[in-house]
Amino acid sequence: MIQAVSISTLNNQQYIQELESDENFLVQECVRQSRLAQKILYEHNYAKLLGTCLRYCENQAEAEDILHDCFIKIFKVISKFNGTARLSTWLTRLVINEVLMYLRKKKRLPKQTEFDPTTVDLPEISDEELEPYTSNEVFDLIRKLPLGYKEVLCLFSIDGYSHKEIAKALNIAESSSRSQLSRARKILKDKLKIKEVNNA
Amino acid sequence: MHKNEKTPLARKLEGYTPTSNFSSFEAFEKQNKKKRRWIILPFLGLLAFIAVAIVFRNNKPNLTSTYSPRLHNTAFSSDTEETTQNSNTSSGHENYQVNRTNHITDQGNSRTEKTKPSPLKTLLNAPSLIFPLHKDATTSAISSTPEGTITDLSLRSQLKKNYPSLKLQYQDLKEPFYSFKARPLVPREIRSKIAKLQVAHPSFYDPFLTISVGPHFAQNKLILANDAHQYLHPDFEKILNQTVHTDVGVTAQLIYSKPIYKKLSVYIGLGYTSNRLQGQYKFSLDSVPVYDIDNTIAGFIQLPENSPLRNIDLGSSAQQFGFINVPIGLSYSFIRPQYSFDISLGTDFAYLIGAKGNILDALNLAEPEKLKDVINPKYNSIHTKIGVYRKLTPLLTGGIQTGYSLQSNSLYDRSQYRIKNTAFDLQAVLHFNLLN
Repeated sequence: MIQAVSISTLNNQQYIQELESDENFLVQECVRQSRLAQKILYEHNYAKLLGTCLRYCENQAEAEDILHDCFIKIFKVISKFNGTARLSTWLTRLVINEVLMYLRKKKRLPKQTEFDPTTVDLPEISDEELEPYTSNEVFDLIRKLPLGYKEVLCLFSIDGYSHKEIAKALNIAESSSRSQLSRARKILKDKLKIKEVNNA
Repeated sequence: MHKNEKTPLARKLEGYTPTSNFSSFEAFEKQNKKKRRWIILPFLGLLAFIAVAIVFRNNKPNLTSTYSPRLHNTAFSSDTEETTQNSNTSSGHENYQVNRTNHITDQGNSRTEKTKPSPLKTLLNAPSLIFPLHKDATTSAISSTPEGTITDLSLRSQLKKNYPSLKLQYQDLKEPFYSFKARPLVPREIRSKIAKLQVAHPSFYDPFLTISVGPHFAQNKLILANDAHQYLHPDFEKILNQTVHTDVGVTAQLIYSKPIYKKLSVYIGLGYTSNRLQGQYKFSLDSVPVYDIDNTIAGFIQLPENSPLRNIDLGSSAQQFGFINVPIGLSYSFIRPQYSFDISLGTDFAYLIGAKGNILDALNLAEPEKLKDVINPKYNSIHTKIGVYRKLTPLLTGGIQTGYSLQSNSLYDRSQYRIKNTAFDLQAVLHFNLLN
């Protein structure tokens, strides 16, 4: 049933180089279910996508589990990638959708909140405010944000969603998205200040 | 995305790199395999449930259509049934004597009490019976020819042996049914058999559930997908062609088949195949590659006539495989009382659950790799088979089938080249019919 001659004698180097340099070729080979192409796609994107999952999940085990399912889906639907966006952007979007779907199932998504007219639109957190901290410290502070604030802040400030897109993804009103973003920024800024004081 | 420019927060988090045990693709595959095993379990459970449900459903006697209004109303009483049951261990002739006595004494009681016997007892006690027998029933315990003679079996010989005076009558009804009349006073053990025969195939569209077991022998050959050639050493295909592979093994399958139109049936099954593959690795190369500094192939050098590479003998290697497979397809059957012949066409989804042995390196350039790390665990194929079978006992059919299969996915899990296995196989099979 099985042939036993190894193909290890064949030269893969050129093929690997082509996969690593040409995104469209990589996708095309993944569609063909080339294991080597899938391996390259997986290993090149795993860390970044795990970081994305971790921002929304409670713990690492949960994030790893979701990401595993995401990759299964990615290898199934990769033929739908049309090349209009970068591959990494497409993968991140797909992973975020899957994570949100998971959170929705677990009923851990923010509920509809009323728009608070007193909320002031706070500006983005600046580079100066973030400078004293390592990326790990900032990451931990974001993960500790209350439910609802964390998702909106991550979607808007890190993953580049618009309020309209957030409203659609989280099934909330656009106004809720805006006020929750402001509150999230305020909490994060406060936490950064407290940390700065403690460090000093 | 709402904007192309990244926020300070996004830029800051770019430096964050989480560590994980699953960052390698091998770990992903390992975890994937574990998960897939759990996915298969409900499917197997469902198949087992369907199999059990079918067996139970078909063993439920549906006797209304067989109780002929033309029969004489001289049924045994229900008490007769119980008394005959006690004498099952004695010979048929003794049974006949005992039953006859009980029949005479109990008949009066049953008439005075006017108890209504159950449908099963009515059939078992009926003085004469009509059994619709489908002449195309492959694995039926009883078969009939167009002339209307029953070519069974142990039943006919047993009846004739023990009851020389018993007359078996055959009446040709509408096709595809034939009738069979037996006279009264047949002991219970025989009548039970008759009842079983009756419930075996009450109608043409009833399904079969069969266990088939047998050894097989196959001759394998690998073929390359056309798009693989651009990456390959030109001699690789030659190596594939020159290497001889044979496998021997045992296959056991549970097959559910249902006639859909005349002689055409659909089937689905669940099976296990254990293979031992023996490969003889003797081949010759005409050229060897010359590698560039960056490890790409710069060209090929033609080998001299006396080069040892023109006659490479790696010896032989044995590999062991275990597959769980689900065959699905269509079969067309020609059936005669003792012989049957069928042609089938279908697809097979197999999953590798065990592989032992190493994979040889064609040029001895690398360490032997473990087979299970290289082979694609999914083995999907299309197959066509022709089989000839002979009925050995009412429940058992033996036969030989030969076939050809072509793999539809790639054999190697780790290869970018699509290499497909093809096999001509010969199999001896024993079919055991569960519905009888």
